[in-house]
Amino acid sequence: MRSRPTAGGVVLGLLLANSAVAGTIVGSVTLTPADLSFRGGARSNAYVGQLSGAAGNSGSVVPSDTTYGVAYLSDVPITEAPPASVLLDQKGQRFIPRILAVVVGQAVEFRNSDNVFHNVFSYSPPKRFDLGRYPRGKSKRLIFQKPGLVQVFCDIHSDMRSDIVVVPSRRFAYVGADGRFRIEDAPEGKHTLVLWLPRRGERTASIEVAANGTTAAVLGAE
Amino acid sequence: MTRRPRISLLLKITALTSLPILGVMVAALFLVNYRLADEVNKTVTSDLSRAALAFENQMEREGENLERIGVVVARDPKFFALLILPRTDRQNADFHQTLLGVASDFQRDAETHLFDVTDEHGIVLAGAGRTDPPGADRSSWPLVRAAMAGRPGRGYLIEGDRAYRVATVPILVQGEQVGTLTLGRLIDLPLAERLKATTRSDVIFVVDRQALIRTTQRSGLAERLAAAPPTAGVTHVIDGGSRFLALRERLDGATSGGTVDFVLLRALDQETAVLARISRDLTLAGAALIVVALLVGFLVSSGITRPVRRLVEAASAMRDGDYDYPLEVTSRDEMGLLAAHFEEMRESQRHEIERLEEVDRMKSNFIAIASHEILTPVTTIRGYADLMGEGTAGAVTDMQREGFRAIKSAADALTRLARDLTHMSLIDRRKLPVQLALVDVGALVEEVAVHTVSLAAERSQIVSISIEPDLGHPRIDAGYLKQAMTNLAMNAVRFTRDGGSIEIGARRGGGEAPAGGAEGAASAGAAEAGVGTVEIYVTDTGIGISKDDFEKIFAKIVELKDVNLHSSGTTQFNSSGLGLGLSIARGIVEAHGGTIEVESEVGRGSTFTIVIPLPQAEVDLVPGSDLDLPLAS
Repeated sequence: MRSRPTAGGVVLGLLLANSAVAGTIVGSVTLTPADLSFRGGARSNAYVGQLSGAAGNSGSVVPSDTTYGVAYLSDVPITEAPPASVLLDQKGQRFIPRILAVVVGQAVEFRNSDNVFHNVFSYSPPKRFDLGRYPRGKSKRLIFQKPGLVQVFCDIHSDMRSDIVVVPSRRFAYVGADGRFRIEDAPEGKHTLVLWLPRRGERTASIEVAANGTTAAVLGAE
Repeated sequence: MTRRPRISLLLKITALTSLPILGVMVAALFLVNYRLADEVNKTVTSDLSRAALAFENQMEREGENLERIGVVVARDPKFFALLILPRTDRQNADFHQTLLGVASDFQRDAETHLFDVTDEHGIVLAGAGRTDPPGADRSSWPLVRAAMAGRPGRGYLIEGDRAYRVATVPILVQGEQVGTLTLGRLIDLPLAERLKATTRSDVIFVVDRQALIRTTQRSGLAERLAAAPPTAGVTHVIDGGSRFLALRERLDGATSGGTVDFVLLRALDQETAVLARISRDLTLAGAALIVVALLVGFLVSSGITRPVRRLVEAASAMRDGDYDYPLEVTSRDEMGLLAAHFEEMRESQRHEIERLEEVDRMKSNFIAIASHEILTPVTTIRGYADLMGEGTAGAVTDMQREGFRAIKSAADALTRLARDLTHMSLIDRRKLPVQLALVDVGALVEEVAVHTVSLAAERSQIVSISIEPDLGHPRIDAGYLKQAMTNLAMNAVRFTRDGGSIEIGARRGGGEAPAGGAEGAASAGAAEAGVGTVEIYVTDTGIGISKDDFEKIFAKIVELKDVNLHSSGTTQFNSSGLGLGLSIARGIVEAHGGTIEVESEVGRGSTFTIVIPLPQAEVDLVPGSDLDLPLAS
């Protein structure tokens, strides 16, 4: 459903970026307790304590343990080369981060930092894989070419889970514990904003970005 | 002879000693048999109940096992990762294929026949093994519904001719209900065989009143049990002559598609074989004990009664004059004491009897000697009185002649008395010297009768004589028998009023020899007594004898109180005043093997009959043979 970025698109994107005709989207979504507790399970309790201090991280594009969703513009083609690979660590029998946004074409490094074996796999249609078991210190890399949700599990530890959201553009941001997100460098004009929350899946909204300005996007709890 | 007891002591004691044992034994046997049968029933019943419990436990464990497997599978990320894919990702056929593949993998590992995966709404996503096509709604199944609510459950599932033991577990991913997993194992013959081994009973699975699976070969019985309405508890069934105990119960747990019962079946005959053998052994032992009891009873009682019987026999023998019957009682108890006392008593009795016999013997001897000694002087007195009375020693006056005659008469009486006493003492000592010879008894009777006529004439008595001809020739001592007859005849004359009548006669008696009364007689005649007797009778019309005196009159000394009642008022005929006449007559007759019978009525007269047996040879004897017989003409 999402068009593969073409070489032309990339060029166009570069041009757009260079034109510096861009704005910022500041969004906010009301997170329900369910949205906040999606991690679930006994091992996830560690996250609860971090919620209080997570507010300041809102709008980050850096994956962290305190993100609760991903927001992105689905209709901004990728014009530059994919960013460097991002790390999905396995530590303390958890995937860190729990939610990871990956740009189409970007690589993810699956590193095992635990003293036990892990076996990362996914059945999700955008990317099916099974990395097999490997010990501490070893990493495996995968490039995600198709946009969509990839649910990552460990074959051995049923509580380990991570959701990789493969986004079709570089204009994305993580949703903080306060429900806020901030997408920088949004090209001027009308766009489709997609918000993904683990419990609710994707929802879209149309948004018009003003040049050199900040556009607020508010999404209700629904 | 010995009187026999009506119920012998032996029988009584045997009964008394063995009957209680017998009763106890029979009661014990009955009780044991009854209790045993009861116990067998109880044992088998409780055994079957326990087996049912074991059966249910095993089925429960099967269910638990399935549930545990289900829980493990549901927790496996490889399994549940597919189920938490976003709905949009499940739409394609690829998803179902993948899920089916994953489910089949897990089914193989879990070794279940049934492996159904539904989503959180109870809609089948994949079924490994057999199953409904994906999309079937299972939310109506109680187990699935419970699992949808987060509760695992165990139960049974019936599909067509198949029944499954199933467990359904919810699939929870990080607290979120994403579906249900139903695992099931077929209820099949191997399972039934395992249960049979556990419960030691034949197993029948009944699904909706059909015997689905059975370990027994008796298909008819299985179908019959399956079709019967469920009954509580153990029931007795008979099939093909064999008895069975059956227990039917419903399997616990939520079921879908029908009901599942199970029947445990046991052949009662096998169960009771051992107990039946025990019972038979007990019966045999009981019978043996009864025999032993009877034997012991008999031995005990014979031990008690043997001395008693000996004593009874000894007493009996003693009555018959045998004082030497061996007692053979050696025990030292009361029986021994009794025997010892009896022995003492018998000894003193014996001495007493011997003493009395000695006295009697001495008396007889004395009489014999005395009477003999009397005869010598009396003969002298009589001879000289005779001589002097006839005037041989000088002239005597009439007065003197009368005196000599009186002396002679007295001497005659004394002689008779002495002779009587001699005879009596001989008879007493059974030493009467009878010399038997074939004698014409008719002539003998006639002689006595004629003599009687002369005596009776003096008292104007009429004597009639009636002697049958051909009386035969019994073996008799003519002298003694004549004396016996004379004694009777003289008694008749004596006790008959003047002018009365006397009948003397002889006749051939009946075919029978006189019975009894001949003990101690010179037994030649009696032993040879064949057919036929001679009866010599004397009938008078005298004072008669009362029946009570019949035996008394034959006693040696009779008190003749009524002697003065004699109508003549004389004592002329009372020469044997001691009344030895009848006793002597009886002694003589008995010495011949005969008897004297008496018939009498007081005031009317008496009949004395001498019965003498005729020897066999005599009967056949032809009269007029050349035997040297003093035949009467």
